[in-house]
Amino acid sequence: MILRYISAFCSLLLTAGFISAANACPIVDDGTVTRLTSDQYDVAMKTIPETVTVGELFAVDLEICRKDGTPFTGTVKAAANMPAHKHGMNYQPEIASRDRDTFHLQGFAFHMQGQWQYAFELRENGGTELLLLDHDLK
Amino acid sequence: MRPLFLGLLLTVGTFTCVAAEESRPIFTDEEKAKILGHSPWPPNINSDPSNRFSGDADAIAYGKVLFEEMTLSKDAILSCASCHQPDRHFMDGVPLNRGHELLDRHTPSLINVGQQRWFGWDGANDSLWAQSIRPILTASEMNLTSAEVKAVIGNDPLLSCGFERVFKHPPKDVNEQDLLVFLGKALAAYQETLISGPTPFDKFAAALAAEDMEAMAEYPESAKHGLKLFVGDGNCGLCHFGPNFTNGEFGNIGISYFIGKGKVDTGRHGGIKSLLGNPFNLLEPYNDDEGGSGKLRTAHVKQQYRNWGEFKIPSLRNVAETAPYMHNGSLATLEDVVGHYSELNEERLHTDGEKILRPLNLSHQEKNHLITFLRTLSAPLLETEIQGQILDQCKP
Repeated sequence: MILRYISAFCSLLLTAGFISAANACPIVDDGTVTRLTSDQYDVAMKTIPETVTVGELFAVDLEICRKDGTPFTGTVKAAANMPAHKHGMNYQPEIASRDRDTFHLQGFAFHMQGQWQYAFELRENGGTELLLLDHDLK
Repeated sequence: MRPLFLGLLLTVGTFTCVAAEESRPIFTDEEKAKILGHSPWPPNINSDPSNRFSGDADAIAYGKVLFEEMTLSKDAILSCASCHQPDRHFMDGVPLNRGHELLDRHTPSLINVGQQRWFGWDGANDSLWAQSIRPILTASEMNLTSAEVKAVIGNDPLLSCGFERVFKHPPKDVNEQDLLVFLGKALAAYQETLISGPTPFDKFAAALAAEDMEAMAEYPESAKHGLKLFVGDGNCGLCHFGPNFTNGEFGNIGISYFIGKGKVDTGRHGGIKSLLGNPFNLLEPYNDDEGGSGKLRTAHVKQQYRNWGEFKIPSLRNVAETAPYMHNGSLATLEDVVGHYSELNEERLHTDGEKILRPLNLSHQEKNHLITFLRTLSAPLLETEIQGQILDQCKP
């Protein structure tokens, strides 16, 4: 009986999107994500919508795993800059929701065409790693 | 005879080839893509989800009446249309106008205002309806209190009757703040109908897309050269982006933001502060799309040091008809504007600001080409008939 309740609870969580096989570490690259790596982490990144448009808001999903295949348990800060222009975005992205190792960040907008660079700061266990990713916005 | 005729044919043929050569586009594939990025026009017009009266024929008709209503200012000395004059592209043609006091900022045109995402030179409002409330309550402009606005609507038989028919509440039963929001939403519904038609540039862009050489040849060569500068070396399209020739954001281009001794116009920096303290912003309950994504931009906007002295990047549609220019109306002509960018004083740019601006050092001919191109961005308003008959039912 208890097992049945646990099973039903897990089904509910799966339906609500709190647990999904897709975001359990290690990362399974299905070809729809951009991969970033650092000394300690493997990251899969996806923009929502997939195509970024000048001036339009978009979100970023980050799945973050430690190199040993266990989930990242720390915090994430995100920004993006145009290095050649020496300016960033006019908006501050924030974590809108978190599902274990997957972070949904809202509030990105690239207001010009050109070379942008994402900066994801991962903090865990007193350490910080910065992951950078270039994005050429046509 | 025959050799002479053949010679004549060859000569004519040579001229034909030369003429075709001259009418060919002078643009690279990259430039062509950028040009097509400024089309098509007019855009698809979507109603504003934050305003449930957007696109409503009766609200549009009532909004037009409000727009021209002098009693919505203290002592009934001016209406919205006094500064946003319909026969002057909904602006006023002077550097700085006077409401109840001399104003600090130039009156922008309202044509295509519905295409914007931030409103006012500092973007202090995130909806057209909230922006429409602002001048009514501003002391230097129309200078009424919300109580006075309620009295104006309640005491005027036509305005009162129209209010009740459009919003389904008699004005006396509505609190002052709610009444302001209703008026703002009707004013916005009307202003959203002010859309400019296709320009000579739009016709050229359509011809370019269709590779219609004959139609492309109708566009002046000087304008083509100016357009090439605009999308090429001038990099103007970085900020003046897309079909409305603006990316909808803000920039510091070295125009003075001093507005008197010891007084500065903080531009976007102050605009963000004002936005976030505004009871009518999209994060507040007056947003008719509370669960929608429209408020995300407001939720994530970030006040930064570099916002000092930034002002909204205006659309360039009808730019030749809407002199003078800049947030303070300090540049009288298009020649002055092009000259400003050509001989840009980099020392006047904010030290923490945009690093992409540099003097363009244009020749006299290049300046003329650029101005010729800018003049091809003009077109009259699209004809839109006000369909709402609601006020006819209120007339005695």
